[in-house]
Amino acid sequence: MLIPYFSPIVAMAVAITHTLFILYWGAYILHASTILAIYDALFPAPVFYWGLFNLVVGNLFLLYLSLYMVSDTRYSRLAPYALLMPLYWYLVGIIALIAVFAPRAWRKTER
Amino acid sequence: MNTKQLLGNVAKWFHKYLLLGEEGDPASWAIFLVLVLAYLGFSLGLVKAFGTTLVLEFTRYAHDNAAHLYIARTIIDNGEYSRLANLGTVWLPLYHLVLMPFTVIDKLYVTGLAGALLNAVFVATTASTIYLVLRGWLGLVFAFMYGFSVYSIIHASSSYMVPIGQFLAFAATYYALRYNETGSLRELTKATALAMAASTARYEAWLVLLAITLAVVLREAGKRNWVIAAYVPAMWLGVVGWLIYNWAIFGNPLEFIVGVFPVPPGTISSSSIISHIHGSLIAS
Repeated sequence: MLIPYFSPIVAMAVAITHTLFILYWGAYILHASTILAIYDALFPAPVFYWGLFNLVVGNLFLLYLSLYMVSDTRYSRLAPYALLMPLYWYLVGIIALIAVFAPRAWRKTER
Repeated sequence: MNTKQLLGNVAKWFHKYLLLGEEGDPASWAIFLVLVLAYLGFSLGLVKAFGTTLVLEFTRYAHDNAAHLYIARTIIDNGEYSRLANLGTVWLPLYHLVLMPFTVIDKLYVTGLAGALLNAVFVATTASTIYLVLRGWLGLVFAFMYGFSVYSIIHASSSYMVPIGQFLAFAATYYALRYNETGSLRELTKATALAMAASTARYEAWLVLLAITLAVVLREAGKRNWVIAAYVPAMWLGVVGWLIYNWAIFGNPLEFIVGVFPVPPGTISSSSIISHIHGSLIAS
């Protein structure tokens, strides 16, 4: 099965896509035309559509994969939470942004 | 590896990946191989005789052949007008998206083989799924009755949209039946994913979606099994996605009901390769 090899790649692609989309939508909501112009220059149509593909197909793939993995196990009561998978990637995106722009704000586990 | 083993492995591979892990059995592989070879033979025969499978337009049944090929290609090869919105409304998008990479190859686009190659696999897989549902002699008879009906042959040699919808809806039904027999939620997950995909391929599949939803709710409601709440919304994501697409592109979530243009007007660039090919097709 390709899934064990494929899913980490999909997961990374989805996380990166979400991180970039957070910035994009943030700029869109704030009418930050400079950032939007940078986006247009950085992401020509093929790259944008590849990101869109990751956003839609990647999320669906990981959502159904999570649903499949918890089904018929003792964790099957967690199945409804698999629907929150897309939200999870946005949280991963926020963490990635914090790690890049404010590494000291990263709340590490206290030991 | 001899030819028989090779063909067996090819059939097994298609079963495994198209039917999400269902490996089938020698009878279903045989159905798949016989039908795929028959359909491809028919398509290649049409290409040899007429230069294109688009002659099936004259059956007045598969009259949207060229339109589907055109929509698939116009998304990425229409000069400055190449854009996702060219998927249009009215027709659901999945088939055009799957067809897109094949239509980029000029030879496959002009001869119509881009659609015929895909549809041969879809129709043959539907036939072997019919066998897997019924099993035994009854399964064989019905699979071949379906596979060799005139409509199936026309579908399999054209770029018509029906086969992908039928394939996904039958596969979803197959897993829904397995879930009903075994109560396994993994089977239900597969049914859910396939039904969702089917709902983005054909509107008829929305009825299948409704039927599976009702079956699941009626089966589980009495047991107060609330885990099932996760599977029903996951099944309807395709329909929701289509409404969002219509809203985002056309400003009306129900545009596919009231819209009249499968492709938005004014989206054809005169400099694109497709307009040249279409021009030469019309001229010939």
